[in-house]
Amino acid sequence: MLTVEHLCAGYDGTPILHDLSFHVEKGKIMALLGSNGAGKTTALRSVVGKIKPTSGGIIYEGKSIINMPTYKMVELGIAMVPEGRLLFGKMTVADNLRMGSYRVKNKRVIQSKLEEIYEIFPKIKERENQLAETLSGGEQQMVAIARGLMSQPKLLILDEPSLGLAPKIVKEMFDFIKKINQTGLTIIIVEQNAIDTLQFADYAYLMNSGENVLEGTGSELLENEKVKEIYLGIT
Amino acid sequence: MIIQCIFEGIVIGSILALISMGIALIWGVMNVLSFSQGEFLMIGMYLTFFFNKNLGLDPIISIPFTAVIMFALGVLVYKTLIRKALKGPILSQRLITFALSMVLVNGMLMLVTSEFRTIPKVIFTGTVDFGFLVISKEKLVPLMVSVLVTGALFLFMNKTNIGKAIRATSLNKDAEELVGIDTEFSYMLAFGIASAIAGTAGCVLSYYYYITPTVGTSFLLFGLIAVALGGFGSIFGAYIGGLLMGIVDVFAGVYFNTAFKYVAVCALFMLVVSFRPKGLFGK
Repeated sequence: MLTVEHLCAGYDGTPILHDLSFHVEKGKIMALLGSNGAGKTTALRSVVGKIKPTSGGIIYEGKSIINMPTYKMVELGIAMVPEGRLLFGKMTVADNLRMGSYRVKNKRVIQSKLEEIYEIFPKIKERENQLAETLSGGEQQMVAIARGLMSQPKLLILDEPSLGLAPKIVKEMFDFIKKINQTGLTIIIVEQNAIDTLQFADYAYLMNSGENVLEGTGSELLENEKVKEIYLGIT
Repeated sequence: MIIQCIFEGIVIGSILALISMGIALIWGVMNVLSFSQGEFLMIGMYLTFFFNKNLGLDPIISIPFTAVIMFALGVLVYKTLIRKALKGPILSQRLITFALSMVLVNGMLMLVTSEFRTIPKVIFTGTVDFGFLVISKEKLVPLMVSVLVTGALFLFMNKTNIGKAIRATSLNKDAEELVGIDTEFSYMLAFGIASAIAGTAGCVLSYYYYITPTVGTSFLLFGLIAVALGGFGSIFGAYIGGLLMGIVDVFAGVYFNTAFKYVAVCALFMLVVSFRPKGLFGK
């Protein structure tokens, strides 16, 4: 569904990605793992057009999307839930969700999508008319994902969804991600929380200094000595 | 007398509020300080004058035409100047509208001279006398229109999808692109709307005010202070700030002298800044 080939990118002449390649298959959960500064977020921002890559290719459903502006991504079916959630804090939760479906013109479709989301997240419905900034971290992350879902994406990109959440909430979040994947949605997830993520990811890439150093299915990587060494401290 | 002053203050304040809301809108959405807002008001006044002289249109009737022309002008200014300046250094972004304002004022001085003009005949004239308050209908028109325009702006920004998108742009540019809103489109609309509002303010101001190329300068100064007073970025704050400016302006003029009003307005601003640095409604 999405193929990234030999991608190089960076900010203001500081290269961050050197030679990154990865591939996501339709209907799967793909995880990009790596320590802080490995270039995970840069990779995602390149995919959605926030950063112009210096070289390499990004192919989505057979077409190159490398110079496509960010705001056109949702029309292609790519939605990104950014790191730090980035909700519209001074807007109500309902308005945040409606903004998610800004490009959907059919009001009935929006309404049914909204109801669908309220069904999955009853907590959000309770908070419908509250300003988004007044919600707790976990609730805000739910709203951020829900806002991404409102555009009816085919590919959902999650950047550090567990950041700043309590362990119990993180578990809920991951359960939820599995659930939306089962509805047929393809998911790319970037996480520092590698061991937990590998439990449910179909395929994963381990990144280091702007390139992928290791790849395999979730269980393969869990067994890998290098992963154990980095993330569990077992040698 | 005090009631009369408050009324006159609210009238002039309601015009200032239209200018300051435009400044607040542009600042909130794209972080550009619009020094040309006063000149958009001036051009609105000349358009009104032109429609009146050549087509015999009353200023109220010409509001839609002036608003549409000013919207188009705003879009054009955005496309040709602001959009380019936003790619440059911060100082260019701040100065570009200032330069535009200079060009517009002096260009108009060359074109139509500094002669004072007025609209000779308007539909609503005469006064309503309540004893404690004399309301001239020429001043009631700007007040009513300002209230209507403000109401329309609030409805647009809070109830329509495009209005919400403009607010989303001002709240979070990163997230706004991710949900599919084109930042530049929001910028363009915001700039167009702000100039249309300033043009409308010009229309109704010409109901009782003289028309000259430099008329916008003092409105801009007061409008800017009104925005700072209300708290930058808050359109509601800018509206209240505008009304407050108008009242202070009139009181200072009546109870001291007209030269004193600049002192009064600026002193009020300094007071607010020292006690509430972020403005009355800033957070």
